[in-house]
Amino acid sequence: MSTHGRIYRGQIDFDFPRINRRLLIMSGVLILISLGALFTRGLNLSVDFVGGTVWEVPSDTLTQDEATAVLADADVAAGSKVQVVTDANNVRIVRVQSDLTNQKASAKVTAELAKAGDVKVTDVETNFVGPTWGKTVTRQAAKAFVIFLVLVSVFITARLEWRMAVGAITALLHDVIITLGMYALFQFDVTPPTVIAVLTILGYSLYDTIVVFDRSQENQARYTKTGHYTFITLSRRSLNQVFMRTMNTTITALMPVIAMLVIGAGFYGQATLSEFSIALLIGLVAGAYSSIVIATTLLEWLKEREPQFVKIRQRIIDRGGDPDDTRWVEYSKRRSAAKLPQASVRHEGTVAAGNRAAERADLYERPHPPRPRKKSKR
Amino acid sequence: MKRAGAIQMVAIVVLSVGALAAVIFTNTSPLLGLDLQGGISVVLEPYVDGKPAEDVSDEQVEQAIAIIRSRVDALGVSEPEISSQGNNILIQLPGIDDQERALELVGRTAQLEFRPVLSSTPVVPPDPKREAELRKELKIPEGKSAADIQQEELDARGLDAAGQSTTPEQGATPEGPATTAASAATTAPPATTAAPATAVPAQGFAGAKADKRLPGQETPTTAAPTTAPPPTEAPPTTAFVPQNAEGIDVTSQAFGELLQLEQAELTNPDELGAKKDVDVTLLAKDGKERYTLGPVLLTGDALSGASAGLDAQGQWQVGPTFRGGKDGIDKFNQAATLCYNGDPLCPPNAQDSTSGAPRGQLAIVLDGEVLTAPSINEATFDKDQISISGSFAEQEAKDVATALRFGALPLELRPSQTQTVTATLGQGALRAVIIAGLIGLGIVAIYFIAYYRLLGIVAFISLALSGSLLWVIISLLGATLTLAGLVGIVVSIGVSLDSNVVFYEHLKEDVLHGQSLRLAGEKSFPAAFSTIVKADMSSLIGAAVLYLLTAGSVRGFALYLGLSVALDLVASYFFMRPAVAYLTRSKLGEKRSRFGIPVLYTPAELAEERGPGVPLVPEVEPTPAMATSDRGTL
Repeated sequence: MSTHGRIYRGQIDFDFPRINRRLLIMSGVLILISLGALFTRGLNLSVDFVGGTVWEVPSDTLTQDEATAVLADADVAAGSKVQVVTDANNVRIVRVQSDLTNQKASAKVTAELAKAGDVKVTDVETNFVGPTWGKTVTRQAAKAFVIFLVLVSVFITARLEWRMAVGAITALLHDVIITLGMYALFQFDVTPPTVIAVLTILGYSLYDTIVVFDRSQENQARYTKTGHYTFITLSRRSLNQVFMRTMNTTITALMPVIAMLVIGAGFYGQATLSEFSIALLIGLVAGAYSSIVIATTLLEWLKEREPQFVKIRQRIIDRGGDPDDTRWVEYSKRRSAAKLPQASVRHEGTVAAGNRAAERADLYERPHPPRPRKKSKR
Repeated sequence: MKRAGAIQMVAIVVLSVGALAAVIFTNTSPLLGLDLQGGISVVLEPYVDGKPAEDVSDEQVEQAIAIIRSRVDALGVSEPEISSQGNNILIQLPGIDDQERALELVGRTAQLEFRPVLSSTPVVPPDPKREAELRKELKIPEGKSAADIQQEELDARGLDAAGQSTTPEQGATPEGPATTAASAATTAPPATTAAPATAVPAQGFAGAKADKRLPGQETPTTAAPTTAPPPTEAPPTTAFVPQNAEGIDVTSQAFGELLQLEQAELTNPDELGAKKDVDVTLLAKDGKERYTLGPVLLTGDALSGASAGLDAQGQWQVGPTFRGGKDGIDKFNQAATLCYNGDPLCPPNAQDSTSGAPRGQLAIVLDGEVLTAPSINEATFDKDQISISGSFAEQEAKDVATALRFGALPLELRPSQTQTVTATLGQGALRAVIIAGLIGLGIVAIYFIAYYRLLGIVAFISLALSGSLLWVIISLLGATLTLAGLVGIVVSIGVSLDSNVVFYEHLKEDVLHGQSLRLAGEKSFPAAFSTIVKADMSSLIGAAVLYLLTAGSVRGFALYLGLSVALDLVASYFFMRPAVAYLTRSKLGEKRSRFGIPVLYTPAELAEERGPGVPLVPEVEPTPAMATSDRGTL
């Protein structure tokens, strides 16, 4: 049967823990690249953060040289940038960016640009940002981010457990670093919408992670007492159970974002939309990935050190089982596996006729062995 | 239980559809943000002593907002939004596109001062290009100003800076001592600053008189020789031999022009607060006149209001109203008397409109610009019987009145961000987001219905319900819909459908593990909902933190994200749960494929499936009997 069919029927059993440990190398590399890009190239901060003025002149005639000349006359040539863009309505727009933070001087340039471009002053869109604005915004966002991390940690610790809080926050940082790293690497403009998008990513990343962890918690509560499953086994099972869900939510979340990128930004030429959607796109993919790979691997590592799971691992070894075989096998079969060679276990699983009731008990997942009285009832 | 579910389902559908209809019927809709409809947004930051202020009391901010609000109302902007964000004040003026005028009325600190006019000259606009040209032409070395050279020349001729006009050279270089004296006036020594307002500050006055001798001046003066020859008609310079180190002819026309250009420098409006008691040089609001003004005689505090109206001749005029008593009209009348009499503190500059007698002018200075400088035609006034007439255009008169009325803010505010968005760009963005959102929604709908079949339809009805509730809430709140907010809504489509996915996958899993669909439809919800709540809580925490701590567009985004997450919980609980329970109980529930739940295996598949190590799934469609027994075990 096709893999898709299996996924659809919820019967996959990928060895996520093993795959994840390999993927960690990839994450490590990505993080190194991101940090490297952040430190060497830095973020391409927009005027909103560094202060300055941006003019958008909807003129058919204004050339880049003319616009540059206007700036030079106003003595603001330093740090200026002139672009010609065409928007959705096929209007040619000259976008002039400078580090001018003097309101009066900027008004003068607005008038000059309008004159040079032969348009009305009121048609020129200006965006002035004082030198302290960006600092304020950045400080507020940083403060909000830290408080958010603290509150969410407290919440996850209360509703789930602290190890999961550690895993979730680490995954979150992973996503943020990679998103910012990509921005630094490709020198995309970092604008306030980007900040919003990054903050959205935090939400998605956590949502995914919490859904995975919640299932993990549920499985742990059910199966730890049987003493037959290492945490990694439970984790693998949880991941397989929620895999389809994660895929589906990521796909559903990505579709509007991609639509926005392709239609809003590509077709309609809305720069703001591309600023939003690029960060969201990177962040959504990173968020789904990190909740499966980063968050759970870290959780597995922490949980396997917990006394109860150390004990279980030891007992499996004592019984001659392989604690690293993380396939999900009903624990009743595991019990016999301790006595029988692996191969025969597998075949035992396919016993056909005969003891139908026993077979059904094995086929259906149970948190505990079927009770005898059930059998007699039947 | 079943009945309760049906009631809830019907209730939420009726509620959201009804509310949406009501909102549409009453034509209530959220305000469109500036980025969507065009307009101006200004963020004002409080400053103290030229530095961003850290400690500003809420009261001051509230007061400033109240004043700004009344100014904006005077501007006639519909639905302006003025709010505080920490110390900052955010002003959004949709539909306005004259940025300068709006900023002037709204953003200005507007410390209103009344200062006597000492002299006025037509302004020489600063022209750095011409200045550089002249410097080159005259070969003036770097780092020296024309004034320096002139000083050198004067020194060489044995004159001091305040060289008196009796010296023979003075006639040859008329602008020479005048400018030096003028600059002395603008940077008056401390002795003057300490002088009481009623006393005659000798040096300041001398400076003023000297200033009047500047070439190109139009107002006739009394104290100085009335006809200082303009540079063009300067007396023959044959006798003139430059004595300065550079050998530059300070009597030449080019030199005179350069001096004037240098003088185009004005008092920095930022320093005005510290220069209450000294003379300053400021521009008129229209930028055509340059005024030298004496110390502040009274401030905007003395005013109680002002109005603009038409006088008997149909001319626009401004009528200020003063407070009564010592700090109000009395102070103004003291100033008026000075100017009326042409006192040296307020020297005559203009003629009385009726008698033609010389009268002083009292300049009204708003934030470093001379709004208007009426000449005073009466010695005393009643506090509400004053009119400032002149050749005001309607807009000018109204602006002056507004400035007078709401002159002084409790804080000095400077714009830290201004943004103008033209309406066309905003509409483009709006259309792009809506189309992108609809297409995204369409694709998701196709995917959902293909994948979850009937459940997909439930998901979309649920999404429609929470969407219409969101619209109702933001319409009623009168919230502003910004581009960021709209993007937040589009993005939250994905988040909202998430909870459906969590539930449906749970349901599917339970059924595949042997539970009957009918039962799973009811029993899967609590476990799934607990997961949904936990996950949504993190989003809600995030939205709340963002809303409380951040500003501007981030805040709008947080509001919409938080609302849509909360509404998603409501729609999940009150609609999705009963709807799915109903569907699975109905006849439709007989076929699992209608719910996107795979039909179980054919025997051939089963054989293939039973490869080594693959976990198994029951191979039989549960018979009614089995379903019963399932109920017992699960």
